[in-house]
Amino acid sequence: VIRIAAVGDIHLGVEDRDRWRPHLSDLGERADVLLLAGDLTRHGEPAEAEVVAAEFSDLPVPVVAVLGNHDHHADEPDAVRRLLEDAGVTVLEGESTVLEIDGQRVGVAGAKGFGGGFAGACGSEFGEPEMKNFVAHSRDVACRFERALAALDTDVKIALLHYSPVEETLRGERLEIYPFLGSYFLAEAVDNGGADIAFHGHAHAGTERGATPGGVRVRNVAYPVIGHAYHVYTLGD
Amino acid sequence: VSTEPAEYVVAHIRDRLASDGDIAELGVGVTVHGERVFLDGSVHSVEHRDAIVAAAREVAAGYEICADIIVCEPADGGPEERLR
Repeated sequence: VIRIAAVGDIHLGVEDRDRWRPHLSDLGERADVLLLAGDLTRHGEPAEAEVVAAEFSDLPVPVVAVLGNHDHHADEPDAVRRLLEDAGVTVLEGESTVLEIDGQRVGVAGAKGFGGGFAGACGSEFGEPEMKNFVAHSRDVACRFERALAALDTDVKIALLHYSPVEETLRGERLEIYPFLGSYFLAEAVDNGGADIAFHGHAHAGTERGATPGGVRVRNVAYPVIGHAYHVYTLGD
Repeated sequence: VSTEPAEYVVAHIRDRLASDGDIAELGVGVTVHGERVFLDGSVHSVEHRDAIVAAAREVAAGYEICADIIVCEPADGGPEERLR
């Protein structure tokens, strides 16, 4: 049995020290790993990342994270990443990590992802350079994520994203902003890469549960959606 | 007295909430009904809510600001979902 705790979009600011940590006191009894689905800071300032690092350091379970768009806002994602890594958090961007849980090898592939929209209503690499760059970037990050996921040779494969791979978990958001909330490139990557489950955040007004076109479970763990410090998802009997 | 059409007011408030370095808020809904602007969502602190309301008031001169913004603390870990 693999017990996965997950949350995203906690948006901690410099004044939020000790805001999350008190709610993690029984994490070790309830879960084997904690996944953080991006937007950990409010503006992506290194000072905010220090707060996040302190909240999630020295926990009894491994912590694996991706960054979100907010974590890029101050143009210092590398500093944010470094501060989290210095605190023992594994940060993934088109990369993967392997954990040993309950005698099983568990792989986590992660990426922020990007927008672009969903099949039948998405942007194309056509027209102005800005539009082509937007869609090309989305395709590129999804390709790197898929390669990392596909390369995992583990008993269980978990996909960790910030942007959504599917529309289903966006229900509650305005339809017009779906292209800014995720991309079907990410769902293709989840399906082609052979994930057992995918987690994402970003869509605060969305819903928790969905699945990819290929039938992989998707969970939107944005804090405003789940309303708890984390939710636990158990794989296996 | 309202000085701007409602649609522009919604866009300008959302733009200000996103781009204001002290706020950087994309998760608060903005709607206009008559001469009232409704702000809807949940935030971490009273200070953050107050900053959002103050910014909206500044942008939407002539409109009444109705702040339906909940200040919420994270609860402990939530329920477990067994996936078989």
